[in-house]
Amino acid sequence: MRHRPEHILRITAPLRGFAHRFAYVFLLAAALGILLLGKADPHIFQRARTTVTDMTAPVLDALSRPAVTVAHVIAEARELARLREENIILRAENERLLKWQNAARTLLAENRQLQELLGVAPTQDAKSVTARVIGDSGGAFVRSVLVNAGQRENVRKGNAALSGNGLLGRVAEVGDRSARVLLINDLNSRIPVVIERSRERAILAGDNSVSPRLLYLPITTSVQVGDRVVTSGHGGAFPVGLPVGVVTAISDEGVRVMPYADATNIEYVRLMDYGLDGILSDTDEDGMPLSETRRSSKRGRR
Amino acid sequence: MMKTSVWMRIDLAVRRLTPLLMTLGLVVLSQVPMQLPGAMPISPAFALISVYFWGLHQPDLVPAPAVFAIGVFQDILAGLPIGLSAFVLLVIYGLVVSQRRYFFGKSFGVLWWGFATVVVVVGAMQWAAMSVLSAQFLPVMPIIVEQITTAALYPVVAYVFVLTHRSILREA
Repeated sequence: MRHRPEHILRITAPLRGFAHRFAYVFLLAAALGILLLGKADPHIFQRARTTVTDMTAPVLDALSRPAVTVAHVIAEARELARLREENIILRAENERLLKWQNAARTLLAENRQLQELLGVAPTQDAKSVTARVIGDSGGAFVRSVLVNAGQRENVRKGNAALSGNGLLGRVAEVGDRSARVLLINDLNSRIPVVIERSRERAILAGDNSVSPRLLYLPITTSVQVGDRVVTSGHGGAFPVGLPVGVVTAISDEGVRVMPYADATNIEYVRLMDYGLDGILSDTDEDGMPLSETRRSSKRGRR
Repeated sequence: MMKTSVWMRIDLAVRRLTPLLMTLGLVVLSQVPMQLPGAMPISPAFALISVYFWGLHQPDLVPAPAVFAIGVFQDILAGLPIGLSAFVLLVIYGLVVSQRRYFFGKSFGVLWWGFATVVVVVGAMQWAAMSVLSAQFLPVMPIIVEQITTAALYPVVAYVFVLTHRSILREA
């Protein structure tokens, strides 16, 4: 094969150039095609997505541990610096919370009695899985995290993801050992909520900023800064009353809500299975059908 | 000419694969949650640095199909629409490879300046594409921050690539 290399080169070089150019244009067109195809039917690449994330999950799992350790050290150093003042704040808060605990206990007992009196159907207990955040896309356009639990841990698409203090998002994709949680401030996140004080319904819509917006509030709304926002349970994706956030700004461009869950700094999430399939079921290829008990439990929660 | 043994060929193949594997590794690394308290979540576009660097210095080590694969991998891991990064990276790759002559033998500063330009183009493309796909104007601040970070990290990543490149050249 080594005779007259320059001769062969003279023939093959333009050919190769052409082949390269063709391959390049083909790949470019393929990328564009995939992009449009994925836009038209978001489920078409579901399998590929979960397979790749599943394969990467162990690597990310290992890598995220030292990263977390570093973050801990930094956080600890900061905390150490303001230990005293934090202690004072916490003591005051503890006092306040103890009062609330008392109130909650009384209300719980009262609620139980009233429910018994009225014969309210018992609500199904939620099953929960705690998962570690192993991937944080953090990209400019997507607000989602990868967690190290999947179908093996009975995580299902549509599960609510909670951090210690509020709703963080919902499970959008489930692999075998990993799952992607779409955060509530992502562009594609729409959550039916209710203003706790006024019982006004709205949709909490993410726009990739830190604080999502409230859409479709009644025109005569009495919403105020400081109002608590909780899930409304409409659409059957989440149960009623999960804490979401607090109204922080009301202006011409809309009402902003600061989520209780700090999406920039999450280590563990609780994935809650309330047995609700809601609006997600029809789009979920391997979702289980909505059973009758689930339907009734949903009604019972209201 | 000395006949190359099987082991040498394998060795060479592995070396030639290093840029691609390193890039894929960097893409994974950019997904690791950093969790700096109060910091904005940023993931620098390492893949872009890689495509720019290898496109300029030795495109045959990271050919167009590899660029495509890197892009798709990044899209999947970051939860982006599949094909977006692949498309953007391929456009940049084509641009860079066609302008190789201009950059040949230029100083590092010029290359960095070139990369900064590329970063602006990519940022604008991604923002426009995502805005069209989601049918609304997206906030621009996150992408600006991300692109500035990427441009600032170029020297560090490029230095690692330069070392890699040298070790490959020495053997090849």
